[in-house]
Amino acid sequence: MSTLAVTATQYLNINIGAVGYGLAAIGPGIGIGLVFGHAIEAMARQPEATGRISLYMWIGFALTEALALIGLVAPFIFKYSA
Amino acid sequence: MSEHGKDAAKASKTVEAESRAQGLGIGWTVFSYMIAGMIAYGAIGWLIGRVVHVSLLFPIGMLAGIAISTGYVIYHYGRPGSVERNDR
Amino acid sequence: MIGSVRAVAAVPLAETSGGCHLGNGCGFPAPGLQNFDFKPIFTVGSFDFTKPEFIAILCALGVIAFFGIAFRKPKRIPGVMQSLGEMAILQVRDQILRPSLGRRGDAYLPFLVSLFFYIFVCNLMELIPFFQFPSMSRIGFVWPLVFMVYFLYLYLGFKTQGGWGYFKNMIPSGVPWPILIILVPVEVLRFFVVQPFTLGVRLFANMFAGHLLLTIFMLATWYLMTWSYALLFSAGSALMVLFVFLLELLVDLLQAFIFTTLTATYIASSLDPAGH
Repeated sequence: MSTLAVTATQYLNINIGAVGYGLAAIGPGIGIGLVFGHAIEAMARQPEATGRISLYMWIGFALTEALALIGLVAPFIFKYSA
Repeated sequence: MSEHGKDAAKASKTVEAESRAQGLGIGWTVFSYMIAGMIAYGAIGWLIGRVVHVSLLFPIGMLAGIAISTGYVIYHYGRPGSVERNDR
Repeated sequence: MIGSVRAVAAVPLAETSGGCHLGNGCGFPAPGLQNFDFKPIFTVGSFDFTKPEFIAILCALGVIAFFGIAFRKPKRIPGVMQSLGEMAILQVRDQILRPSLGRRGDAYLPFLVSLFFYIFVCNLMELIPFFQFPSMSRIGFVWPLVFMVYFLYLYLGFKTQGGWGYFKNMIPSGVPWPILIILVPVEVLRFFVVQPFTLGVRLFANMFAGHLLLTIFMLATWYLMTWSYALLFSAGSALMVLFVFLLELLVDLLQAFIFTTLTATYIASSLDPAGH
C-alpha cells in the first residue's frame, strides 16, 4: 500500500507583474467593448455614415489598446530600473 | 419581382460578407501594428541599452514603440477615405 | 524572484505514482500543463506517437474521406453526400473567399476549404466523448498551418510584385521621410513576424483555454460529488460544463472561420498591395 497524504508546506510564487497586467486589462477591455458597441449602434442607426464611423472606431480602438499594452510594459520598467 | 428581390438579397449578403472580411482584416492589422511597434522598438531599445549599459532603455523602447505605432494607426486610419465605404 | 509574492499553504503531496488523480486522496487535481502531455501509444526510435497526433491524423483522414465520397462520381442531380459537399464548398467560397478575393480567388478554393474543414474538425474533437482533446491546443500542430499560409502569401507577393517592389509597396505613401525611417521597422516587423505569429497564437490560445475550461468543470463535477451540500456545487459545475460545451462549439467554428478569412485577406493583400 502506498502512503498517501503526507503534508508539507509549499510556497506559492505569484508573479505580481502578471497580476498587474490582469488588473490593467480590465479597463481597456470594457473600453474597447464600449467603443465597438457604440460604433455598431451608430452604424445601425445611420448606415450611410458607416465609413466615417469606422474611421473613428479604429482610432478609438488604437488608443484604448495602447493602455492595455502599457500595462504589459510596466513590470519591465520596475524590473530594469531597480 | 421575385428575381429582383433575390438579386437584391444576394447583393446585400455579399456586401455584408465583404464588410465582415474587411473589418476582420483591419481589426487584426491594427492590433498587429501595435504589437509590432512595441516589439520593434523594445528590441532596438534593448540593443542600444546593451551598448550603453542602461538597461532601462528596454521598457522605454517598448513605450516609445507603443506611442509610435498608436500615432501611426491614428494618422493612417484617421484620414477620410482610408476605409472603403460600403454604403449602397 | 523579482516582484513575486509568497504565500504559504499546507497541501498534501501526492505520493502515489502517476501524480494526482481524482481517486488518490490528494485533493483537487487542478488541471494544468500536465493535462496536455500524453503517454505515447507507441514509440518508434525517438518518435512518440501520442493521442494528439492520432487525433490530427484521424481528422485529416476524415475530411479526405468526406470530400472523397462526396465527389467521387459527381452527378448532375446530386445525392446526399454530394449535396453536403457542394454546400460546404459553396459556403466557404461565398462567405470567406469571394468577399476578400473576388472571382480570381477561386484558384485558392481547395486550399481554403481544406484549411477550414481540417481546423474545424480538429477543434470539434475537443467535444467528442472518447477523444476530448483539440489537437490545435498543442502549438506544434498550429505552426505548420501558419507556415503554409505564410509562405503562400510571401510567394504570391514576390511573384506578382517583384522582389524589390514588394518592399516598396509596404512603405506608406505620403509620409515625410523622417517619419518614414521611424516607421519602417514597425512595418517590416508587423508584416513578417507579428502577422503570422498572431495568426497561430490566436488559434492555439483559444483551443488551449477552451480545453482547460472544459477540464476544470468536468473534474470539479466529479470531485464535488459527495453526499453533502457539495452536491449543489457539483450540479452547478455540471451546468457550467453544458455552457462551456456550447461556448466551445461556437468558438471552434469561429476560430476556423477567422483563420480562413484572414488567410484569404492576406492572400488578397499579396495579390494587389493594400493601398497605403
